Amino acid sequence: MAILSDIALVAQVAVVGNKRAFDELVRRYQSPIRRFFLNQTLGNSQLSDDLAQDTFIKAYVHIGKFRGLSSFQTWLMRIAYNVWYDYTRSHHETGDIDNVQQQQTGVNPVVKMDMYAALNILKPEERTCITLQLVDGYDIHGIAQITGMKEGTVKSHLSRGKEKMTEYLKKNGYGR
Amino acid sequence: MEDNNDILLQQFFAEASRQEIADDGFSRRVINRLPSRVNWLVRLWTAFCVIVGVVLFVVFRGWELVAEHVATQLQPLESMSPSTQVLLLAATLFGLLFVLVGEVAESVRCA
Repeated sequence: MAILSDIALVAQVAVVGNKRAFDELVRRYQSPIRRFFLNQTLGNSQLSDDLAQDTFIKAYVHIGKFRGLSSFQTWLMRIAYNVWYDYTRSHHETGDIDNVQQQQTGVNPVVKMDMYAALNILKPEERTCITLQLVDGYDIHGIAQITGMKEGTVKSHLSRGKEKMTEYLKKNGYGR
Repeated sequence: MEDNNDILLQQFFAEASRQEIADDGFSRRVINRLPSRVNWLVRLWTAFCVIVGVVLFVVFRGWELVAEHVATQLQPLESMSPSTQVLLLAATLFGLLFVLVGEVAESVRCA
């Protein structure tokens, strides 16, 4: 099972509803999807896991719509972004850093708290673009694919977000 | 200056970008919540096909066709010796038993 490509696993799920194949896909991609939500929710692990579950369930239900034009991970990230977008439209933004629930994932908790505090100064679109580029490693084209924004819009969110972030980091003693 | 800012940001996010989140039962929870992919449209289509099949069987007196076919198939048996007939019967029963056991085992595995 481990050597099967994403496409082979997707085909098994789409054609015969093979749940073991989908389980393998969840295991492969749970980490980037949950990390994406942790960054957007500023570390709220319970909310992140709920949104990540919704993402995978939506992916399972609509897996027949995956055409292989982008990688399976990019397709999943696009679903994750839509889940997050719908959530933020129907709920108030989780802006209070004091409510953050830290998850034990092996990263220095102080660094994580600093990171979420820094991300908290950004607008949601800026935060999404910044984390997709600097944490998940997507280029501008990839971010545009995931978010459905134009590349010019992505560039301006990145530019404004980076400007705010560097100013914040320098004020807090980073880069000296 | 712009490059220095980029380096500062890359360094700040470096640890987070290497972060791997342990599964810790997450995938099991997702699999347990997956809905059935057999939707009502498929069930409706299956029911429709079964009903059409039953109606056609009755309209064309399907049982008569089946009886005629079975009689034609059994005719060569009359010329065979009793021991060959018993052997054929045993082989047929064994085949049916094989399929039945396979079906039962599969349904138990899926449950």
